[in-house]
Amino acid sequence: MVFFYRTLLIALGSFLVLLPVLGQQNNTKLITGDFQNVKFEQFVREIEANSTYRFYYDPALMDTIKVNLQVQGKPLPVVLEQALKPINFTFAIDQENQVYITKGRAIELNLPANFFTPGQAGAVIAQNNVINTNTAEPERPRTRSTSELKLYEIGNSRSANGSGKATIAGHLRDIKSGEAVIGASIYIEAPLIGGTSDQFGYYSLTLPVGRHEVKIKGVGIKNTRRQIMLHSDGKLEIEVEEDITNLKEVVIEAEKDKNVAGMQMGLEKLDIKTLKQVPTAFGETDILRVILTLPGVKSVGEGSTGMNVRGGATDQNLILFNDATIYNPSHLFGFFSAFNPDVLKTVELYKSAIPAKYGGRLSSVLEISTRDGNKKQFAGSGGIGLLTSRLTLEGPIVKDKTSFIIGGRTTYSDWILKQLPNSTLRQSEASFYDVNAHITHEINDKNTIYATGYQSQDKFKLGTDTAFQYMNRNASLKWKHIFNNKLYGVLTGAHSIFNYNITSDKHESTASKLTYGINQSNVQADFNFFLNPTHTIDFGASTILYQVSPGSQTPLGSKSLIAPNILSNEKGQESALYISDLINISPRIAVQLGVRYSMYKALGPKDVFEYTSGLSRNESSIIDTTHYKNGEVMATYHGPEYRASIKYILTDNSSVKASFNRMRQYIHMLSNTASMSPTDIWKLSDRYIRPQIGDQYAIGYYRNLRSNTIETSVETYYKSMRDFVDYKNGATLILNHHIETDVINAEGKAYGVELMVKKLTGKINGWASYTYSRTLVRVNTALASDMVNDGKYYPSNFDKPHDFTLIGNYRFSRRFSTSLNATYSTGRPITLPLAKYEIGGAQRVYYSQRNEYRVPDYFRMDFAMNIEGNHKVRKLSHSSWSLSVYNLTGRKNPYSVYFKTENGKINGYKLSIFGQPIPTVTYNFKF
Amino acid sequence: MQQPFYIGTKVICWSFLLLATACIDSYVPDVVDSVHSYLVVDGFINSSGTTTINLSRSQRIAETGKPQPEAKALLYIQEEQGGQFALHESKTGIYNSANLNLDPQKKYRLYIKTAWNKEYASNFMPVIFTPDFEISPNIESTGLQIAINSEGGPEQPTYYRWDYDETWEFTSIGQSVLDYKNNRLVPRNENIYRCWRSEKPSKINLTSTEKLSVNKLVNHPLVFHPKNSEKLRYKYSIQVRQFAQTKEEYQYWEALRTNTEKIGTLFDPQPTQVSGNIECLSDPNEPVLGYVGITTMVEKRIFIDKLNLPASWISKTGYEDCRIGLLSEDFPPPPRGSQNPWNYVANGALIIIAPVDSANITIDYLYSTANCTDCTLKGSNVRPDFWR
Repeated sequence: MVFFYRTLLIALGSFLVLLPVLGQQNNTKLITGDFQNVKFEQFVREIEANSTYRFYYDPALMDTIKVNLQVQGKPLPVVLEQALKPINFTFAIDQENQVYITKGRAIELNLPANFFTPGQAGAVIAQNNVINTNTAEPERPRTRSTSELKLYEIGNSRSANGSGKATIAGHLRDIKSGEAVIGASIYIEAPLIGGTSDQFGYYSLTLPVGRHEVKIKGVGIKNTRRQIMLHSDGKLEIEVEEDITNLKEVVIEAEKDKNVAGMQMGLEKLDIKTLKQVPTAFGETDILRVILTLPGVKSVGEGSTGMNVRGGATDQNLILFNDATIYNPSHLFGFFSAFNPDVLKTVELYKSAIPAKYGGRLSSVLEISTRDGNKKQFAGSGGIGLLTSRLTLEGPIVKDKTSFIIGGRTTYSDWILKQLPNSTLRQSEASFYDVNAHITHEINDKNTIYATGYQSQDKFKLGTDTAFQYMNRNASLKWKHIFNNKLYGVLTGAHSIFNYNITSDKHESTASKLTYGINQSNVQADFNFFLNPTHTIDFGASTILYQVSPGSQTPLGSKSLIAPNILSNEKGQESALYISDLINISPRIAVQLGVRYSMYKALGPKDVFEYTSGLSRNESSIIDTTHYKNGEVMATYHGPEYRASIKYILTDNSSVKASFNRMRQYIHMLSNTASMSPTDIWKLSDRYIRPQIGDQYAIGYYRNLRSNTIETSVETYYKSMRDFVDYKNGATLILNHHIETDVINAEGKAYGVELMVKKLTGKINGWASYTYSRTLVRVNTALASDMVNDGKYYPSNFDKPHDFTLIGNYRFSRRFSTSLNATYSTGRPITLPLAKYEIGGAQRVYYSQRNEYRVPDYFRMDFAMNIEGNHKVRKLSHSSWSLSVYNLTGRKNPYSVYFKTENGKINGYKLSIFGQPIPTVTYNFKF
Repeated sequence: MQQPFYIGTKVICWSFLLLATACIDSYVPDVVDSVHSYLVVDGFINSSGTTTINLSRSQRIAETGKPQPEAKALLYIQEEQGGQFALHESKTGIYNSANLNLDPQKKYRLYIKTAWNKEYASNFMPVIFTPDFEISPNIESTGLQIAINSEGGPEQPTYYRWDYDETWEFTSIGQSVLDYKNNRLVPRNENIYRCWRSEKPSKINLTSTEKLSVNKLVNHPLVFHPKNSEKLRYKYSIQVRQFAQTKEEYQYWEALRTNTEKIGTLFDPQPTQVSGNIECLSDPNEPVLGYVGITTMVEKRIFIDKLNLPASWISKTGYEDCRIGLLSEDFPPPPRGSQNPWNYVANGALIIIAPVDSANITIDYLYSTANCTDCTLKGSNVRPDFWR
């Protein structure tokens, strides 16, 4: 009884005062009587007198109610229905014949099915004689829940029988800005059922009907919970509070047991607040730089944002900025990443077990999401650094419905160059900017539109000679439609442009301009279907149209003698269908199975050379030219891509996960520098260049220590790749009319072990990772002249076996913290000239085998201090200072090693980009 | 890439890191700095004539100067299961055979034993016959195309390689009639006006008839001279040596061709390790550089006179940047001021071309720099033996 009363009290909330009225004992359950204009109180008394029923109601509500009723031997429910329905009161009768009268909704008298034993459905028999006056309304108005204590009723109590489970869905939003909260965990504890909010802040949980305490934990938000009473499928919009100080380590909470319990393996998730702590060269938060500290992610050198994920090439990463592909993610040759930290929300890197939704690249998917903009009030933030400044503004256009965020960033290194004593440098120019704009519009409960625009541009001029310029321009439009609690879909259209040009005007007669451009348009539809607690199904389709201008060199100025040299355009279409199912076999075992079928068509117009078969393709083996008309299919490639992963929870704090995935890639980057540079060319698959195919097997063991405050993981992988692009000896890549003569399809394998220890709470936090990995390439063709290193496996350009990274933060107080980075890795492979000799009177150079040697090892240490202003929540602006020293030890790490012929002598040089400690000060503000 | 865009590595780091002072350091890895003294074998076995083989050693990358010749080695042309023919060292590192006629049905190899008793040998290879050819100078609208016409035997495709010497006649900016000796002007005896220059481009020229339906080259382009080429100013001569070779040798040369010596630019091709057909018998892991084929050589020379070229073709002189100045005999102040042009005449930097007729008592002289006046700085004033 005690329990019953407590339940009842909570159920009724505070508005109902219980008035227990003792009725007389009577066995008759049929009511007979003539009630003409009697007070409700009297009506009750009469019934109680003639039956075993006892009534409970709020006398204050009922004192003006009059009953006009004539009944003859009717059961009480019928009588009460007649009496109460016209006045919008309802009632409920329990097994003890106690009658509860409430206004509007009937109270729930029975414990929901599975209340104590959630695994078994339908154990408690419902005896529900309730009249629900709300049945006419198909759905209740959306609840915006903000209170932790209030009980939110979800769904319709009448339909709450049968399965015993119901789906609750909705969005997690920031209470102040109305922005979606991405990647937060939402779960109940007993039994442990949970999920995470997606990129729209949308979540969906299928729970046993009944009362639950739903907990919400996430990056950058205060942990919170909601009390719900789940009757049937329904909506719960949850508004959560932002955690204001950057210094507080909220990250931990979100990730707490994800390491062990999460389905995904090989996923690295970073929040902008984590990113901001890591010291960088110019005090500018740089997402790519932080990603490079994660296990399994490497770069060939600093000043390069090209990533090599688990032995993959730099072109094997799909970089998505709000679902639009970014081709060059860096500014100024890779010194800055091209993403403004102020507009970013989260960054997710998939290294293995890549969801079926993604395709088109072999190694990884880097998904970058921007914030949605404050829906409630106008706000801004920015930073002033030594070389760059940034400003971001955001606010509502229509409060709670439409918001915008716009951010810009620029550099004034040009100004500094002008101050230099050296006249050549004074004539140099270096500048870049990037602009982001994002609008979110909530049409209604079920439809939301997101529009993003992005542009970044770089200009760089060396002395008076050569000017480089490159640009990324992207736009994406997304429409999210919620069909019902279990199904939603997103339709995305995006357009990406990347182009560069290099102008050289030192000599009038050779002044020329070299250009390259690629653009892609894609449309995709993605659906997410929460079939039942066991199956969550994702499916969708996409198509991408690529258009490439592979290069042109044109004369600059009337005196230039350069003959125009223009390569014909390329066109291709990549389409895919996918479906995947997440199956929760038991609380301990979950499996995700998926397949993606992709298809690529190389399209005309184009003239394609035909080569003598059985001979190395080169200019002298060209025998014919085939002309393809516009839109004509020149080559078709297609195939399935399998994705599978399994999670097995061993104990509460340890688990094993394994995955397999196959990827296909139809676009290749041609680069003869090992790092990513703006002169890289993206080449589409064609008659001769086959798509790359990669398989990855990965297995990992995850264990959390000290009540989830320390995460440890060991992941090992084996990868095989075929048909990725490598270059023949002596390949020429730029302005090559027959690139197929200079590239070969190579095969590769990569394997490694990644160890990681992460502690994200406490005064001391951070992570340490060690990776041992190898990545090997083999070019073994039937033609001896095309073979590299005699057809044996050789280290790829980015094979760096040992890699150790430490990111450590120490928090002195909420306002003052320091961090220290240390990173060590083996030097990257290089082909060295070993000797020179004369044959036929001409000097020749004898090189080592390809990538036979290595540049010196890499070591760097950085230090940063963050000083926050005071933490009064209400003040005009919040500001912080960050001071950092990059490369504390001043070690001259080689960025590149190269050789040059000078006066008939071959000299070797080592270029270190950051050869000295680089101190930086940045001022950040937020209003 | 016609116009190399150098990645301005120095400027990059300078401009971004004003604080970083020394971004570029000289860097020579130990392995590059250490001596890799590999045997270099340069030449071919002439199946019908004298074989000349050059033996030398490879050098350290940073070294300057000529490579060291490999002296006192024993060289033999060996017949597979047969006899051998010795080569004799005519000059240090240069070995010559007698006039030989090798049996085309047999296979041969080159065997080398160095003074340190290390043994090397090429693979046994068949004798290849080089077909005859014609050089045809074809006048095209933009210039002169020197092309090859050749027809091989009917059996199999021919893999061609050519090298050539070019020689052309030229004159300097002005004919100097005066020489300056012992502080005075004397008549010049030596010709420094008309010279001949010879070049042997190191470019490797290859082609094959593999893709052709007949084993025949028709006007295969070898060298092209634009119509204003200074080589075509008076008379030009080219001597072409044609070699037929096996497919393997052809591939070796092709690999060597793509391996340029130009390194350090943004658009460098990938460097290649090129290995030939010679093996060190004493130590199979020791690299040996070079490829020794067995073939005959066909040599042809043609002359092209300016008279046979279109009259509208105006050749460059190669002295476009030169100027002629006027110098007075009693140029003040005699004789030592460093600005006094006569000092430069005395040390040979300036050369007097001729006196200028003048009504004045003083005599003026036309002069120019030695580079512009003395053709022997660009060629030889000795008329080549073959010149006609």
